[in-house]
Amino acid sequence: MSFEERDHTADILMHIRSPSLCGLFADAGQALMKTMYRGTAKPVEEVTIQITGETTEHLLHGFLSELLFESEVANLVFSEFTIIIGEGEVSITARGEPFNPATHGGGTEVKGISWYGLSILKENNEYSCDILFDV
Amino acid sequence: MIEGIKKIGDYEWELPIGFVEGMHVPGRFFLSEKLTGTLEEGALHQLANVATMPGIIRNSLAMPDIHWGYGFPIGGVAAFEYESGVISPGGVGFDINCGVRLLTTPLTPGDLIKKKEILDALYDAVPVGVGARSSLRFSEKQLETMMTEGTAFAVGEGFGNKDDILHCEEQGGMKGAEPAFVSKKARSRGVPQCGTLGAGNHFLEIQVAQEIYDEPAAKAYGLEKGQICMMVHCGSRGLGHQVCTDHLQILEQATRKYHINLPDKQLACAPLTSPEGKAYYGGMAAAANYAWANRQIITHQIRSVLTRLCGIAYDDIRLVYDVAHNVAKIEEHDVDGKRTKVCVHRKGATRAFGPDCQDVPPDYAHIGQPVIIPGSMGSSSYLLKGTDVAMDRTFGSTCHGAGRVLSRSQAKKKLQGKTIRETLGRSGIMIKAPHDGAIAEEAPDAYKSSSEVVSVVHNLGISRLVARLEPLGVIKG
Repeated sequence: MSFEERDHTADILMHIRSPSLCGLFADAGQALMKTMYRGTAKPVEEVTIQITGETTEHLLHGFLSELLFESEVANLVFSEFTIIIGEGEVSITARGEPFNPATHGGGTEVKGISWYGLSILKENNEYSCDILFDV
Repeated sequence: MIEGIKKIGDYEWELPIGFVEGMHVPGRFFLSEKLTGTLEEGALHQLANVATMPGIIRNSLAMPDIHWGYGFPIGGVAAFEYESGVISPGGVGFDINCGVRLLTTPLTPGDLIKKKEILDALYDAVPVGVGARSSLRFSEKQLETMMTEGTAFAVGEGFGNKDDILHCEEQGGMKGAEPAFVSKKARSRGVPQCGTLGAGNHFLEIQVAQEIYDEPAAKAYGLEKGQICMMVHCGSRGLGHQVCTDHLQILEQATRKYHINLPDKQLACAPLTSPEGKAYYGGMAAAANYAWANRQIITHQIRSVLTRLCGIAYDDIRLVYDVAHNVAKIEEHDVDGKRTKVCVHRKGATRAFGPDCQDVPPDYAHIGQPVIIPGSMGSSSYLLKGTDVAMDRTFGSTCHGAGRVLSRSQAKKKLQGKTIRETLGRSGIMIKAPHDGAIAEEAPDAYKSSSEVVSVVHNLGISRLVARLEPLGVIKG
């Protein structure tokens, strides 16, 4: 898992790095969950997310927006992601457990995933991007 | 000082055309010398980016609480010509109609012997923090009416009185709301959260009116020195967040369809008169109305607690006013001597309409609209009044708060929630929050001085000080 929070005055700016594109998506999902919730979550329930989009950035933005939605509505904290990226589409299986205020409470509410500065780079066999969560 | 900006008045600075490529108008922002140290290059670039948007009138503006956000800077204001201009969720934010309301009570600090009990009861009555759900469940039909009517819906359901409607910006219900443009996903996020505060910088505070600067205005607003007040800061919850997410996707495509070149994808926009622009406006207005209903329901919970624990009458807890500080609105303003229909985006900025302006409640018409500026946790909040100067210079707008200077991660590294809780406790300020981390993130030191920010808008005349309120008890989301 490789993500780190960088300084941003108003919101949460995450820098994500991974040797693979699928890893980048999974780490971005982890970054979102770690922002919203404390503690760990057992992979006892799963949801499947399908996203289509013109660019890889569209796929990543769509995935994170959908993950935020699923987490909030299904009341689930996700901890594991299986990512399959195809031409103009991505399929994600996200696994986790129901939100428990005692073990997961105390995180930061994320309102949405911003497009600001979202660009996926590939340098020296590593993918990276910055993602801003509105909180 | 950041290169390229020019001081043009005591509190006024200009960002010339050319600061970023494609600017149609200069940027203009308001700051005291004392606040210039808080100015961030990222925020100035965002201010300049807004100036590249089609149909922008006069200036891309920023209030003294300007800070680095996404799309527009926080504290950003921009008006666009209705016929040739655009509308953008980047000028509103995810939390549509995040706003503040101020209530007065007949209580004084001496009546708060049960302050802890009151705070505990408020904390139980108003769900806060991540994952919090409301005990209320509105039907699909009720949600539809809520999105159309806003405050009036909540009052009709028994969550308030008719005077509350008059004392909200837009009377708590934006016209032009189109629930049809609010997706099923947005509705499913909104239903369980109606009546909840949320998290982050949202709060519910017990305050005391510590100082009155303008007696006639305070009297008109029903505020006296030493009076216990309640302040609520929250927005449109998951429903509004999803409306923004959904329409950003549509508007990102529309930006290309209408050949609009933008330096930041978060500024995705469409002509106001286009189907995409109209759809966003309708959905945004529906979410704004949900937010007004939400704050109204929280008001009802506050009244119920105070009635039960303090023995005061429900109707003696009076709504002074409710302002939106994340919204885009169709308004009429004087532009080059002509009354002109425009769309004003206020992202982290408060409407500050002066005396006798349309939509100022009749009982406040001779004074101007109340402007509520929340402080950060533990610091002063302010009540101001709107002015004619704001109508002339800022499309009737002023600041919305103190404005952050520390990121949340910096705040958590530098400040300890437990220490802040104890320090504020020694000053008589009691805090309740789901987690100490939330206290550290929102500590007073993470923000600019609210008094310096309001002194800038007061001295500029774009709103004028009426009263200062100090916190006694804080519930953080």
